[in-house]
Amino acid sequence: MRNTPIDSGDSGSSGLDLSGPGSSGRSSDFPPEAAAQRGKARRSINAIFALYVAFFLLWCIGLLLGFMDDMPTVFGMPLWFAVSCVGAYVVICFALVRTIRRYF
Amino acid sequence: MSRLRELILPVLSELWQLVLDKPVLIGTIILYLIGMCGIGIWANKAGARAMRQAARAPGARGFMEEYFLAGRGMGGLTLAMAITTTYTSASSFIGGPGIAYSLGLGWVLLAMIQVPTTFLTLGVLGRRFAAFSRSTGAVTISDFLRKRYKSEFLVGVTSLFMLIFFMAVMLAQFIGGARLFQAMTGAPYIAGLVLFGLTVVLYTTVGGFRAVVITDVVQGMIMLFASTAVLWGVISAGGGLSGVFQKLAAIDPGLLKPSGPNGAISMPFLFSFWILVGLGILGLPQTAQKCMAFKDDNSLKKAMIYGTVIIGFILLCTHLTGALGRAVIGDLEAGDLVMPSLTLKLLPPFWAGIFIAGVLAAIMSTVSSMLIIASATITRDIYIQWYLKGNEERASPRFVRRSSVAITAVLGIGVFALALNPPDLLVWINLFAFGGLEAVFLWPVILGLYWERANSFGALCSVWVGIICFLGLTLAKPPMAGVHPIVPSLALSGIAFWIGNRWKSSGLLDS
Repeated sequence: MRNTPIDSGDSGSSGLDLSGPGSSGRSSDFPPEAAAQRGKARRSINAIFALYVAFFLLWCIGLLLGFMDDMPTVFGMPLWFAVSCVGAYVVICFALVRTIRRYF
Repeated sequence: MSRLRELILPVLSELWQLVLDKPVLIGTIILYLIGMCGIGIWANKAGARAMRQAARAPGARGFMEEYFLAGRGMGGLTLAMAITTTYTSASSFIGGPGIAYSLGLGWVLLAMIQVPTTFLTLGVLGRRFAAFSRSTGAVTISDFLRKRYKSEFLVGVTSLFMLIFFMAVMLAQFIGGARLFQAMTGAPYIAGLVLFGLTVVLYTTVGGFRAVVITDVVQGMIMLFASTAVLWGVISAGGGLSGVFQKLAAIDPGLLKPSGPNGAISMPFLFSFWILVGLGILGLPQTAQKCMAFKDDNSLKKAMIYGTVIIGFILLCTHLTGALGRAVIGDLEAGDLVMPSLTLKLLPPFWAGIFIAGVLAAIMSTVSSMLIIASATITRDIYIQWYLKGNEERASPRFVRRSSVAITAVLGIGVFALALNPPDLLVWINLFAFGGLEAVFLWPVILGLYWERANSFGALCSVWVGIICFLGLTLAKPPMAGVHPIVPSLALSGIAFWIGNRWKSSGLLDS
């Protein structure tokens, strides 16, 4: 029942960036390029979770707006719904494009 | 043979009568189903050359990668559609909008939690799974667990639970699809089951994973058209966006609130869904396996964008249609009837046929993905790992090919046979199966990828604690203030993983 360290695989043939945090060995064992790739992979994971949290917060803001006594509307739909469902969806799509261009 | 003839002939007769009664509606559906079978046969021919090359290579690894992962060559759009259509099922088109009809915009809010599904799955699992599966030759989740944890017992237990829960999901999809067909066309239940059940089994068996992903792209497009057409019809019939919201407010102001009429959606329940259909989806084998099949880094990036846009659009359209549908048809006995009723009332027969095809597409793509994973699991676990003691080089490609095709067919026909006598409470079986899969797979997959020191004992503790807790809480139904059983189950199974891991690592278990 020994652990299998995660191998970075055959990146050359597939064109994949196969590095990532948690690979076998310490970072000091890696050549500078490999360490840089690991750093990039870690940043991309962090960016994904940051995006997820941002979506969650937008969703929560919309939810809180839904408990206001008066119900303002945008294009006929309740403001809370416009923020948490339509707005959050549109914002996350644009933010995702930016995130992927920058961190992936 | 005579029994089969007795079963099939009346069905064909009923179908012919339906074609005469509703030629456009039924014709559109039948054309769609024939198209899917055609794609399966075409995918079989397109993959034949790759299969022949794979068969010339020593061992069966080449064939396995071709049949079960389409040669790991999925592009961005294909991968996005494959994840979208596998994830969305009958519940996205029928069950979800049905509840939105009863509970209003609060349920749309809940459904939108699923928007990040694609970018979360691919962003967290994508590169790591691709790297690991390419370097080790893994083609299924079971393969991944075997190579990562080196424990046949862990693989056996997880494979068993996976097959059980997959069968439950497939059964629910088959019956849901047949009942929808029955409700919309007036055809007997068995006619719908025969039509789309046999179609999905046929194209999956003949074409393998390549057929599954190609049909996923076509099905995804149909789902997009279908969901847009029905929403457009509802808004037009309701007098525009403002008019339809005003009508909803007149029926019940609670329909426009996040908590639903009379506070029907509690906050703990609402936030539980951030686990069940949010972070928990990282543990679904049917979506995770797609991460092993993409071509390159560029495909991954494109798929994250396309998948998020498409899945969000489909979920918003279908659930909003269900919620707004209350303003157009206000007296339905059951919420589940809202989409079929709206379609028949608002759309011309051709578009109604497209809508049914869209729902069947959602169902068929979910079933076909599960069929292919279940078949891969059985082929590798029984033939290669147990019979050949894990030596892939000794495997006969011809035998593996024939047995894979046969197993896919047998599994599909088995589920089809079970669906002939449908059990009740299907919606809950579906949700139950999703929760069960997450309870079993989430921590072993995530921690196996990201925690170097994760060991098989920790993974086993997590699986057992997760599944026992989930089954216990789901069946016993103790008061939990609206919290879904998946939340404590995943929390406890995560703790069990850590404790089991520490216990084994410290040597206490050995001593």
